[in-house]
Amino acid sequence: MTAQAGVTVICALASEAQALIEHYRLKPARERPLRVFGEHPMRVVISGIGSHASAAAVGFAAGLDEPRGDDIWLNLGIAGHRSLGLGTPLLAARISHHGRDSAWYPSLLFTPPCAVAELITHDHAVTDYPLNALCDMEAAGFMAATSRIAAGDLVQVVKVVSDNVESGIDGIERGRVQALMRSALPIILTLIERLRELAERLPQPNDDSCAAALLTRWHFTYAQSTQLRQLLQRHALLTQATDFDAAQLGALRSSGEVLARLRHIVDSLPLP
Amino acid sequence: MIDTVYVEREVAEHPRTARVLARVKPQQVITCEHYGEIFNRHNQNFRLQKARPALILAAKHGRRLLPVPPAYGLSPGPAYYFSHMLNCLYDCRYCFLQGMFRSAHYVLFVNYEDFIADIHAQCTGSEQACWLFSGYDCDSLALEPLTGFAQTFIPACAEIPNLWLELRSKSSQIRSLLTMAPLTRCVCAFSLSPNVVVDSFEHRTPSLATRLTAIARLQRHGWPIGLRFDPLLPIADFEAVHSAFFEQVFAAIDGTVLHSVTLGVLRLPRTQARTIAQLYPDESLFAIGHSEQQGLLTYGRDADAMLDWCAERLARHVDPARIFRQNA
Repeated sequence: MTAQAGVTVICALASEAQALIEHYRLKPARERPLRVFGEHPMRVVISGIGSHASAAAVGFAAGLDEPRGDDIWLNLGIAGHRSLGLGTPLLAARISHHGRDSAWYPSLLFTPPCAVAELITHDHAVTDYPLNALCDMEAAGFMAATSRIAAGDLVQVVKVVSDNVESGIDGIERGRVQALMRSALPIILTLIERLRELAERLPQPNDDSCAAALLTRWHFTYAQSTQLRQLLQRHALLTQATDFDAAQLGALRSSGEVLARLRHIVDSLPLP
Repeated sequence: MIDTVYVEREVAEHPRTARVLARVKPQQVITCEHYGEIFNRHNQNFRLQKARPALILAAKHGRRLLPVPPAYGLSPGPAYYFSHMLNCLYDCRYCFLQGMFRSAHYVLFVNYEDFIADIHAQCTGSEQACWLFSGYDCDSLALEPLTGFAQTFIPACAEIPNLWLELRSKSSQIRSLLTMAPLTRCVCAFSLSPNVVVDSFEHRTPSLATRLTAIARLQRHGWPIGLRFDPLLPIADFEAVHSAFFEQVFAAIDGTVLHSVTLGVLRLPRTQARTIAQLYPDESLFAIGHSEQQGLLTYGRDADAMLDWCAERLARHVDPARIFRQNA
């Protein structure tokens, strides 16, 4: 892939995104239909509260750029937990929607920068905390939407504990959320870095200059131009040379002859 | 290194689960309902996952023994394959598993007792030899210290007098086999390739020398040995490289007492070949010339010539009646 992998962060509230926006110095990019900060390679979208809102934000954000195989998606926000202390950041390892069967398991293909936990998305704010699970209102919608459009191995959910049995949801206000998220920022930045390292393992696109030169010499149909690129790629892999010596094609008259000659040359090559 | 283990709720209390977890000591243990929630979901990337696969402990339900594909067996009579595990520790670039699965995570089916019950039900009582192949969707021995697969299945198969078992491996994990009395109806079949192929395409596997040392030890211990020269790749200087390779192999191993030798060129179903080529567009292996017949791609322009040449060379060390060609 060219350039850096793009990261799209979906937050329900602007206060959840504030620390990240400040760190990356993201500028407001849109107000409607959703608030968007920054652009490729780092963008934050404010979805509003609820799993449907989160899913809709994923769909909206996916349409802002041409999709790429190395797009990274992150759902970031606050969540409740029965016993963990306020400000504890957790990476979701299992995400489900309360009362429904389906579950999502974000891939853990790197060393997690914080502890992992199960996360249950509810349709309403929860005060009866489940045992050993985070509870939020967005992640299941986020996962359902990203599972349709994104590379599953590059999607993650991070939640910061904002309430527990000792400090309930009544105490949650904007300033506190901003402070909690700011304290978790180093963890979030580490996660983004690890996801980017992972995305870099995906193959890079080929140099197309050689094909471009041949495409100007002969007339190729669309299908033939695809064949030409494939043959040149095979030639490059087997000869470990970046350039193709067009003199091997001599004074061939048609694109069909070029493809036949090239195929003969490539098929004759052994493994290097 | 396995950091993450997913455990199906059904096998959470299984004693083999406890043993595996105690051995792996993972950073994260995550409970799931069914391994299919994690394994082979769409939009997964085998290449990314291969860098750090998780282990999934699950129960295998449904058909645990499957008939082998045509032309796979070595003798007439019923032949089945089974997979106590999906995916492999190694990362061989030509492996069909990359094209078959979207996930590179390892799935270990811990309910060995159900496999063994099926083997008894399927293979007991027949006059004919019944062949059972392991190592189709995984390497039979590579994770032996973790899985105890050979240690469990070989004694169980020994109880069935008409049953022949083949373990297929590239591994040098033979300690459990050396602690057992050899079973004459269990063939330890090892895939071998020249060093240049091992270095270029068989990532994370033991070196040729290490494999040969392991095979020689098993042979001296009395285990029947099979050699699998499959796939033969059309590398540069094919004859010179393979000539030296065969000399190295038979300097270490007694070719006169081998159970069997099989030869095959690289062949893959078209859909799997396409998937692998898309995963690894920077890999030379799938750039070489190939022919296609009934959806099966055969790599190398002179596949028959490669097979003929190797068969002739191998016949200098091995009874030709024990040399088999794999065409499918």
